[in-house]
Amino acid sequence: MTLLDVKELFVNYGPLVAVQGISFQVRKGQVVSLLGSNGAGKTTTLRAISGTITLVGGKVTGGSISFDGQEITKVPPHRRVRMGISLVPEGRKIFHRLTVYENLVVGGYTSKDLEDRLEFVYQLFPILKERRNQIAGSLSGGEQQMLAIARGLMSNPKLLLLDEPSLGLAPRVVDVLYDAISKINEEGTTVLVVEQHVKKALTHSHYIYVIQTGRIIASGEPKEVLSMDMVKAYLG
Amino acid sequence: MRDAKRVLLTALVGAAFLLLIDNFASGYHKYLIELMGIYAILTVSLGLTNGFTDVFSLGHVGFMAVGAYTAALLTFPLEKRPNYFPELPEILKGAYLPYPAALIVGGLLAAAIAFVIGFPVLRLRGHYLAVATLGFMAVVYSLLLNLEPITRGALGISGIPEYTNIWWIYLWLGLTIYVTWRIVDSYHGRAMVAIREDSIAAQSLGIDTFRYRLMAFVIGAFFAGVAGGLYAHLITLIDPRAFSFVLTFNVIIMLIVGGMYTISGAWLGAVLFTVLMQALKPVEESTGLYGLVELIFSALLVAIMIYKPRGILEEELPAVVRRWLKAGEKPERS
Repeated sequence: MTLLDVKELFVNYGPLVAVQGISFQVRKGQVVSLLGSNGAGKTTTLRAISGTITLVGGKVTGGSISFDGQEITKVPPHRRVRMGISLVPEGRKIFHRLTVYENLVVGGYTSKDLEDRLEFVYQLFPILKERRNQIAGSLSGGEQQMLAIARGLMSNPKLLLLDEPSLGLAPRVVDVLYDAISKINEEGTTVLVVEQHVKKALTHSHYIYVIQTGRIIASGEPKEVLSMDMVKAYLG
Repeated sequence: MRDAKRVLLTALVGAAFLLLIDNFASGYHKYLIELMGIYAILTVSLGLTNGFTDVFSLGHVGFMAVGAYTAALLTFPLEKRPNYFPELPEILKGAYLPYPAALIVGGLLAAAIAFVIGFPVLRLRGHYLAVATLGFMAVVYSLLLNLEPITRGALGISGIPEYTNIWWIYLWLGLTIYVTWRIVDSYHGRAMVAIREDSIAAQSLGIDTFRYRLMAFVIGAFFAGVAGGLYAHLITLIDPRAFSFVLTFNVIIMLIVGGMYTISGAWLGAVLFTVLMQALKPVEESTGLYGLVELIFSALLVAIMIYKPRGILEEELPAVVRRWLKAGEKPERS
């Protein structure tokens, strides 16, 4: 069953066209990756899905996004969270001056079972429980990324959008994060992840889309995609 | 339950303190403490927008003016109106309300205006928003000057009954602090702090930033309106100049110096401002350097922005006191 259906999506920043008619689907229960290099339009696509595109001066100028059978292109971002879409933004965007616990509680703004959700994310990332009273800005980069993901999970989303979770992190930390992502997925959350880190994405995804200058240039299961010469050349 | 006890205790201590001032302070000092209370209502309510939701409004004094003129007109003696306001519109000729109700109506009108202008203005950010709210203040100012049948223009309204006393002011200050505290210390308060820290992140967590900003703006305007009503019935004379740029910036200075991210900081700013202003007046007079006080305040503002950009009180007062007490304790032996 298709959870997210993006059709012929166009996104502009002013006169600049960042996404040029891309279409893809995310099936319920899967981990799907959007791969591509800098400036390919990956982050823009996630912002369009979460609705936060309007907050950074962009605009969906064509196409449609439907989630769980509902057209959401015109739904404001805060309402999309209630529908079950949660974005873990690029650069984490945690609340630096609040404690780990406060960050999580704000993340659970729309959640009715706050205690259960806290329990869940603490189990997923035990380090966050240890550091729950610490100011978030004092965490290491990897811990901040864990916090960002945990915060995104507090609303109990159906679809978790991850924007480059491995960016700037040590390989060992990236392993921990991807194990957690697999676990989150096993618990029933569908994940759409945007990555430059091709290897990790290939081993942890059910399906892959490769995006270049705002267009999808290849798609398939990890093995298929890897065997395409064009993709090899593009992704290296 | 613990909260209820604490509120009651604070109210009792406050009342005892006011009783002392009411009976023993000189008229001049009492007046200063009354003025300080009105400033504190302004700063605490402004803190709700400027501090907690990151809406840097410069229009607060405009709302105060709306409340002041509304309350003053509503309590103005009916028999004096035909002579004093010969061109008063028909509906206002007989519109009379007792003082407490007039204060509330003044606040409500300010809040209603905030609600209406909030829709376009709160869509702006940062400097643009500050300029737009300053524009609102300027519009109010020029309306007060030019709506002569109602406001008597530059002449102002004098002979307003002197209903405001120290008890009314501090009752309203208590209410302002209580309401602000209940909002800030709740589920909504956490959402507001999230908006202040990063509004895009807050929105991507499901928080309707516009709704919160509007709520803070409207509630802040209500209390500013009430403060205006209190002010009008304390001074008994209001004219447009009382609600101009000078007061706007003084209130902002009080808030920034005290600390706009805490309630305690907001009222502390008002206290410091009033005390310093008075303490420095004699210096100004004896040296003949008029304007020295303003100079010192400007320097203070710059210094605070450099060394303590979050203001003197970054944490609420009870938390600060608790830490001091703890620091005084002898470390336990193990």
